[in-house]
Amino acid sequence: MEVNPPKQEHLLALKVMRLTKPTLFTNIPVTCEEKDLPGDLFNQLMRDDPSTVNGAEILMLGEMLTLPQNFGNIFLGETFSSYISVHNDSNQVVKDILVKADLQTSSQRLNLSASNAAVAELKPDCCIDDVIHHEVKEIGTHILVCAVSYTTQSGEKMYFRKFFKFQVLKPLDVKTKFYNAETDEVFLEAQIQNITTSPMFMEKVSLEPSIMYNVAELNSVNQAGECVTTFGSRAYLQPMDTRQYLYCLKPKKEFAEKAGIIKGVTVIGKLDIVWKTNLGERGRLQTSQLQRMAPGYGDVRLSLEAIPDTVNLEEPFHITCKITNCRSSVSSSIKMGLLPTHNTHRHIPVICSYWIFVECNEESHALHLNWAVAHTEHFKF
Amino acid sequence: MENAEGASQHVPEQSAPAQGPAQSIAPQGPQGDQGQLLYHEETIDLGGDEFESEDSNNFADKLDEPLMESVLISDSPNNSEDDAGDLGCLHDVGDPAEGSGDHRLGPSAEEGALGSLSDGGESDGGDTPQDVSDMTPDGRASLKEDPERSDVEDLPAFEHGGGEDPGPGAARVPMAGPPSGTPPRQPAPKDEPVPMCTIFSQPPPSAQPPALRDGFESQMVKSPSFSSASEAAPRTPPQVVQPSPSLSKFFGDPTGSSSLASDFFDSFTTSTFISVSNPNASPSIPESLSSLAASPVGGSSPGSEETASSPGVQRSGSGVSTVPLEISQSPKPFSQIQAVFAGSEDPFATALSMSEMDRRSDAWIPGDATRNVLTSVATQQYGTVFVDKEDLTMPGLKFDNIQGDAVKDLMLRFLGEKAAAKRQVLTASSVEQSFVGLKQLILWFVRLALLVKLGLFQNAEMEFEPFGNLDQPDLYYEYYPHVYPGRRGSMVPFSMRILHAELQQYLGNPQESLDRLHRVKAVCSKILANLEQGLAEDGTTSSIAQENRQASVQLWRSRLGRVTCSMANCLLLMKDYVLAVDAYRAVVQFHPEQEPQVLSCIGRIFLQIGDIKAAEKYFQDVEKVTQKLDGLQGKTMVLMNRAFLHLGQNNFAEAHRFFTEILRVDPSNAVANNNAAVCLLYLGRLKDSLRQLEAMAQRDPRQHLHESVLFNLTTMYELESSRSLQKKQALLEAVASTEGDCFNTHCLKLA
Repeated sequence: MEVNPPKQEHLLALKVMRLTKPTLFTNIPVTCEEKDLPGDLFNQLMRDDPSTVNGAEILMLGEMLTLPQNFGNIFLGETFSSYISVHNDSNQVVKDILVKADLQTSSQRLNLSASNAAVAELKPDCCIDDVIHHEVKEIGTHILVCAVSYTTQSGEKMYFRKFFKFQVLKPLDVKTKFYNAETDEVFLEAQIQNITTSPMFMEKVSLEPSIMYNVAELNSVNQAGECVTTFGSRAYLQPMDTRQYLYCLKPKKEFAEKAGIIKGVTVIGKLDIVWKTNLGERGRLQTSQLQRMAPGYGDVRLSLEAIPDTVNLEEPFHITCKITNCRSSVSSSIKMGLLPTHNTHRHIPVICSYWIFVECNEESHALHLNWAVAHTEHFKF
Repeated sequence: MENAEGASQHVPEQSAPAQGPAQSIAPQGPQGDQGQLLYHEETIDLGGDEFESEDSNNFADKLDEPLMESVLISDSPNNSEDDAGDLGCLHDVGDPAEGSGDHRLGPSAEEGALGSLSDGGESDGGDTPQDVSDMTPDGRASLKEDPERSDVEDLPAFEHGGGEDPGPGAARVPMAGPPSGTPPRQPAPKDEPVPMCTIFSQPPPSAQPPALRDGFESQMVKSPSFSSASEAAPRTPPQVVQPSPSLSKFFGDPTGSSSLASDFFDSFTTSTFISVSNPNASPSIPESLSSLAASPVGGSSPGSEETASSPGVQRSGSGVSTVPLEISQSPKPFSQIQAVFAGSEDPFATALSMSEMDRRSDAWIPGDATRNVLTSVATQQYGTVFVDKEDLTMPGLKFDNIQGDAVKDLMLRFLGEKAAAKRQVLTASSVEQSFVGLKQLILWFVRLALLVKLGLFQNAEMEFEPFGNLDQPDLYYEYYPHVYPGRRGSMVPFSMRILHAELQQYLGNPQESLDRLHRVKAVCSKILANLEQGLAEDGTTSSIAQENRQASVQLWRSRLGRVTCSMANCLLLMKDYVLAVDAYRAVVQFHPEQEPQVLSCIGRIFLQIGDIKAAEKYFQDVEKVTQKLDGLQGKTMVLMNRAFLHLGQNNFAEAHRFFTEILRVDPSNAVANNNAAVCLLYLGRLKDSLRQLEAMAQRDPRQHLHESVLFNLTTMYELESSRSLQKKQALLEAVASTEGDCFNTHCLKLA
């Protein structure tokens, strides 16, 4: 490849324009009433303006599309589209034109050109057009490298490149919280904040659970047979708005029963988010695998399956407990009982709370306790 | 392969076990810092680490230059010629960069997930579903292998640092990279509510040429917005919202013709009229200047234009200095004005008697303070009515020759004097000096409305200022019982109230607009309620014939509709889409005939937000409504909406098909033509797009050289070739013959 003398005029010109979605033209309505001095003049003026809505000129939002006016922002998960035009500015026919568009990110280099075949010839005032698309998957600096090589009439091989640099920004901020229920359920609260500068329509926010869990989305309620979102009529997020999504994860049966599997750091799943902005400009992101630390239960885990809120004095009542041996070794003795939460020296306590205490290690099994409480009016946990 | 991602991916692995034991007992405790930590670790830059040789630093420097400044990149020496100069070096450097990219790609591909990502990137045509299916199985597959390892190893590139917090403490999920990704120079946000080429972009106020001095100069000094005014004014009657000779300035002749504007006005008003309604004319100039010099604000030179530039400051000064003067004299307009109108042939005088229609349309409900003043006036205790001058309206022209002719300026610059001489804009001399000319231009409302039309919002605001909230006593007919015997209501046209409210949103205060619109709406609702209770509009008991009452209800309902529509527009500017949609839906109640248009508009709002489903629903409603109407308009609307829907679904080809369909039934539809051309560009057919726009513009320039079309044309010229200037100049010539002085030259992108 030969080195061109500096400042040489190239016969071809390369132009690049980012194709964000077009916008709708907005006009400024100025009206008056017939009785006012201008009479119908203002209204007539607005009727004649092609950018107003025919028949309802007061509406500000017209139907006229205008091309994007600046590069704008580009966010992770969106699609970067660009028009690449190579125009023959000279008055001679140029041959063997090869246009190559690469995108250099911090980790890789991608070829975005639709075709890598050379164009045989380009007549004066004609152009080669290409529209490239790329779904942006990395944050930070991106450089669009456009290279053009061609042969002049005199057979000279020419080559030039242009670099277009842009920054990919983060569109969303996601915060998560886990709640462990007494049962094996896990509740995930995800706060999604729009950190772009434009409103964002959340088309889909779903949790893809890992193989251990089934998920129930708790972001809609059933109202008169219809599924209504809990976010009301506001289907979009304004800049800096945060929305909270709630999910309930239940371990699948095969994992729930096997003690010890859901222990330590477990993978819950990942959030899949699809949003849209101006005229359906689409973006999509997934979070990394969400992990949670399963609560440690020690050697033995006791969970209450059923228990009455209050019981009457001197009447038998039932408590169903589940005791799980979380240790790998088998132990046989179980000792169980009730202790008042505080030592009372009164002979007849009126209201009293009790701890259930367990000392044991055994395979998981349910106990049916049958106690009658004497000398107490209420029995409360 | 020790790059940033590698490092950050290891973090969760290390920190998770560390937390394990601590949390097995009490799984609470703040974990936020772990997330933070991760967050900071992920730095990606194309700097030193990437390019290891010395030369590569140069390359990196080069890249740091903001090459992509706007959508369209012109051949600046920075990124074209110079690059070509260094080409050899650059190329050499570029290749190591590529090499290192590949190098890093290799190992990460072994991990699986990153490989799948890059696959997606290459085969990608904007089709994500396929891409996702690539990713999900990855995550699962690895989970099957070994739960202990899977959580760390196979994160796709943009998922790095997936450490999640086991406890209930909130943690950041670093879905994306570091904040360091913020660009050194941010491109302007793309979602400006209004395109730049509308008249929203205002010329800087400093660009106004200095006001010409003529006989009415003093009026600028004496407006209540300026300190000097309050000192000289007490001896003079307050101004009435009447045609004022000072309006002649509106015809401001840029060339500074020697003829005084007053000459022109004299031709159709009597001289006595002038002396009363514009009493501040020449005789009082010296006085006002001297008082100005003595005023506490002081320092300001006698040049009245200078005081005009800072009304706020001046006013605060005036409050102190004028008090003693005002107590002694309250304005006494009555007898004088009556004298003026007695026997006058003035066309306005003939319209003064209160008619049914006047009552209907002038009705307004004054605020409490104003009502008290008006009541005192009505009870004829004139001597006891003291009206603070601040409460009266003293409008005045703040600017003369405010705008010039931007088109002509450009023509002079690019096309030469000869071409520019052909440019004709209406000036004072071209306005008919008859009642018709007067009718078109004379009222304040018209002037202010035109200022808004011209996009001179700041000027309009300054001239609106003396009118306050349009509720001062002297804006009511009742204030002048001798001049307008028996007449009630406000002299402020309803449209002026709307304009007054709407103006603020163009100045960046949409909240103020909304407040004012709400006040207008409240009065409209009150008047309607009064009418329904059998009262007159203003709540008094009077007998109104049934048909007149009907007409009144109709008028006020349509006004309520107008103000509701303005509120919807304002909410749209504020990007409060939910309320905007509600307001637009309310408009349909008042203007049922506009239902399809309004529903389409709501659909477009949803498209703008990105809610395609809701947009589709509204567009379907439009189709139902328009089934009843046949004819071109309904058909066009339906086709237009379908095209927009395809646009929202990223299907430019189908959108183009529907826009073209409209052109088949309505070949002169400028919107469909423009939109079809825009679609062609997105389909990679620049030349076709240009041809379509140009053809239409040539056939009917008046209709099709709209500024949005011109903006699109010039944008495409810039994309097409480096010689776009010539074509733009040709456009300028075409525009010069059709457009008036409210034309926004920005859309030609010549400057």
